[in-house]
Amino acid sequence: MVLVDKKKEIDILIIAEGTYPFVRGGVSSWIRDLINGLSEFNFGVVFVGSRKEDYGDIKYPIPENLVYLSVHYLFDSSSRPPPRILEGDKKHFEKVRKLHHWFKNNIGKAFPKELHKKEFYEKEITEEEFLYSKRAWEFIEDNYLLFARDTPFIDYFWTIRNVHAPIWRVASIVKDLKPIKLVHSPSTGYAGFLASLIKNDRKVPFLLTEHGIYTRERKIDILSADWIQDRRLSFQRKKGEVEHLKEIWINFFIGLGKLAYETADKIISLFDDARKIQISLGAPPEKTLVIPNGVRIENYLEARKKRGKNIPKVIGLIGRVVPIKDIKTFIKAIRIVANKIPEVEGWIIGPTEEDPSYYEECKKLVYALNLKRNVKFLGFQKIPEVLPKVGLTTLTSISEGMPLVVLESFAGGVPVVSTDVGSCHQLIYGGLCEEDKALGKAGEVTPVANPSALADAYIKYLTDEDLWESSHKAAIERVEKFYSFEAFIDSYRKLYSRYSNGGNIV
Amino acid sequence: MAGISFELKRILEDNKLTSLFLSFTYSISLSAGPWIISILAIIFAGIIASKSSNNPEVVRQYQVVITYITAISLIVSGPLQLLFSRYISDRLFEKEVWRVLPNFIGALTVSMALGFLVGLLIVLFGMKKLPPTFALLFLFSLTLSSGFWIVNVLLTSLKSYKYILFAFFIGFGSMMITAPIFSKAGITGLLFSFFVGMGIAFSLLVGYIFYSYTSSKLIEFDFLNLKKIYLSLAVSGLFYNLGIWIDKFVFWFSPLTGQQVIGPFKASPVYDIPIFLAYLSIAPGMGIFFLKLEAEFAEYYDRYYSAVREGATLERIYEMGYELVMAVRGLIQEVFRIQGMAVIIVLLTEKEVFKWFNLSPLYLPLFNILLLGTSLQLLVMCILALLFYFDLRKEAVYLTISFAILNFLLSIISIKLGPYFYGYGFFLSLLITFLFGTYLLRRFLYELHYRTFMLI
Repeated sequence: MVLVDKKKEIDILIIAEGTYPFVRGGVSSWIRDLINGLSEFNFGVVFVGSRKEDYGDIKYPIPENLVYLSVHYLFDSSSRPPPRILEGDKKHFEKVRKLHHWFKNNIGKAFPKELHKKEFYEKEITEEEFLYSKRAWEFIEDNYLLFARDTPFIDYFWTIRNVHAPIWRVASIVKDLKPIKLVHSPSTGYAGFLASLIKNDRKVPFLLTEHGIYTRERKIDILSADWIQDRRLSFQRKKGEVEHLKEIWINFFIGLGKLAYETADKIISLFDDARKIQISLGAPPEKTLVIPNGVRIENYLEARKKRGKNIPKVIGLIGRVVPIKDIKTFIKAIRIVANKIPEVEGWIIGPTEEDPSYYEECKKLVYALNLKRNVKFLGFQKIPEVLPKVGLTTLTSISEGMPLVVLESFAGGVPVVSTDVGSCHQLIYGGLCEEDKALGKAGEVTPVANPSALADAYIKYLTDEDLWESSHKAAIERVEKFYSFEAFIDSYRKLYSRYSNGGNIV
Repeated sequence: MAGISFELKRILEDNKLTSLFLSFTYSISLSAGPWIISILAIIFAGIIASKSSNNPEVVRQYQVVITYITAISLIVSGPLQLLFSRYISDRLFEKEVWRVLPNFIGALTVSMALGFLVGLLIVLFGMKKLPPTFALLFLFSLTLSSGFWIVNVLLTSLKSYKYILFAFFIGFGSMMITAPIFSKAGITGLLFSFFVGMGIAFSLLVGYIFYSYTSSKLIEFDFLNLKKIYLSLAVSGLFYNLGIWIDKFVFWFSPLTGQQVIGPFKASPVYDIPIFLAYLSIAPGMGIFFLKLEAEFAEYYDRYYSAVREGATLERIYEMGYELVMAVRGLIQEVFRIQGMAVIIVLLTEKEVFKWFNLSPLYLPLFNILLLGTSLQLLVMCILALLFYFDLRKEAVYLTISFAILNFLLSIISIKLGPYFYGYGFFLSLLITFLFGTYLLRRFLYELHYRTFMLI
């Protein structure tokens, strides 16, 4: 569905998987900044989501240079062809068997060539054939009996369907796409897969930026998912064995990740540790590149001025209320702090609607720990307005890429206590170079899922004024020197110019 | 970063397979209920009439009129019967109990309006010479009957057989009492007693429905909401009822076999008596079928779909599927056996029975072939009920349409071929339909798992 089409040429096409402009968050703001900051380019955005009802309205104003926006839903059953009895072609499914084999044993092999081309999904095996043909049924039966004999068949069946069905949706997006000069995907996964198909179909360069490590995050999602129940008794399971259904999903995303790495012309990460992980997952080192996020310092000068003399006894966690942000650990930490500093407040600043059941659980935890007066869910807030009111910002996530909120916090002069994930260590202690290190620490890094370590750090920062002051200074200097918005935009400007002028396709 | 958050659980909850609940009771209301009731009603009416009037001509007229009312009302309400029954089971499954009453009133209105319109056409174009009171009574009785089948469908869907029986008992009881009194007024009087009896039974049942269901709305036409219903059911319902009656109409209205009885109504003595006698012979087979369907088959059916729904392994699903196929086979075989025995008993005793009824033995060859025909009709009914059980709506449409067309054409041909071939059209059309139905059912069962999973 095309929502915006200003009938202008598209220079850069961004593929937003479940992010901009429908969901607020780190990646969405990053896309917004990129579009706003590079007004000399015309941008198009293809939004890829799960199902229409999972998203609300557009959350950002449409900028002048966003000339095209289309939305596509991968799990919408209404867009599927109607069921009919089909025989299916034996030869096609031989191919599918081969591909499956590849997905199962994909370590260190190149991605099958035919999957690069969208024709495969239109001519070789049609969506109808996959969904309704007898051959497809036999294929699923065989695989089940080979690999998943003791899982509930209905779960297996729907896993196979749900893993594969979106592929055709993605392939069909390529067909209707307008001409573009360059495709840029801020993640691997379905978006990376789509970008790969576009590159092969349109012969345009493909840039890949990874904020977190998508494959890893999906792994966390999948492993913590309860929608796939292991119905076997505990003694039937081997220790550490990942259930077959979860394995299917994980392998699938690993496969998609490899495909994106193989096709992309440049693989950009936000910090060096992430770059190393990409290489370990199969990204060719010569394609990798680090471009850290930047923050508009000028927007936070006001916030610095507004600060009062004393450190407010308030800890702000800026982030969506979802399991990956591990809000529960934050609540537990606040409980420990409140035992020492009864007036302490923990603010959870971010949208709560993404995972209603998790939000409910968090609220229950607040009640159970008797923190009604201390913990507040403020929903979405403008960050520059919040920063002067908090003494400290925090992140308790179990996985992060390069969290923008840390940079924003620094720009506003607020120290950060964070779990040791993503680039947090590098940001807080200075890890870019010697000069960066010499600036000193701008906060504290604690182990993941450890409320007492968090609480200790919180108490230190809320009570020790000298420490707070030195961290405050380090934060401001670091962000101004190394993480300015201008530097970030400039790096992308150079990249875009280089690649979209053709002749530079790797 | 936020990718597509995998809310597979919600996606799973969306798919129809997990809400696979297809225990459709409407198959029963289709095949058995109206059929048994109408045969009984016609026979009863005959008995009542002959007991209360000593004019055989009046008795015959009365029986023919009742037969027409039954046939026309069944055909007119046919499209609604199944459609509405399925609508009700779906709503009850969705726990929308409050929709039952207003939509029942809606369906009743539509069905009665249709009956009234058809009746009006018959009255305007065929009853110019008849007394207006008779024409009015005919019109009202037809309208009432058209509504009556909807009442019957709802109550059989809800398995309230007891109340149907009770209301009938009262209704026909009142006919018994009133018929001798009114029969002094000839055919019009008898028809009046029929109308009153029907009215009593109808009121009792409607009253019972009102008593059982509450709703803030009085009337609603949600059962015509295209998103919630299956039009194919209307097609099957219409053609099924048409198929059942079409051979009779052919014989009534053929100049060779039909004769005028009253007004526009014709009858065919040569065909009518044997066919109704033949229909009586399928009562035991039908009883066995529904008993086994409800008791045994339904259990295997539930077990299979529960295994699918509740996450059994594929081997287990295969096993349950095999048992289900066996249950289907057993069910058909059982009906075959019982009906076979019934046919043999009838064949051995038919001469005596005919004597006892004062019927000419000349009818016997025709009766025998019709006997085989009605037995096959029972089997077709079983197959149709099973098709609905498995929600094979498209197959049901094919089967009912082919039955109606074949019965129509072959009955015409049998008349053309001469008296020796009477009844063979009916028999042959049912034989072909039965084989076709068996083929459709087999094809489905052969691909049971594929169709269950892949074609949702």
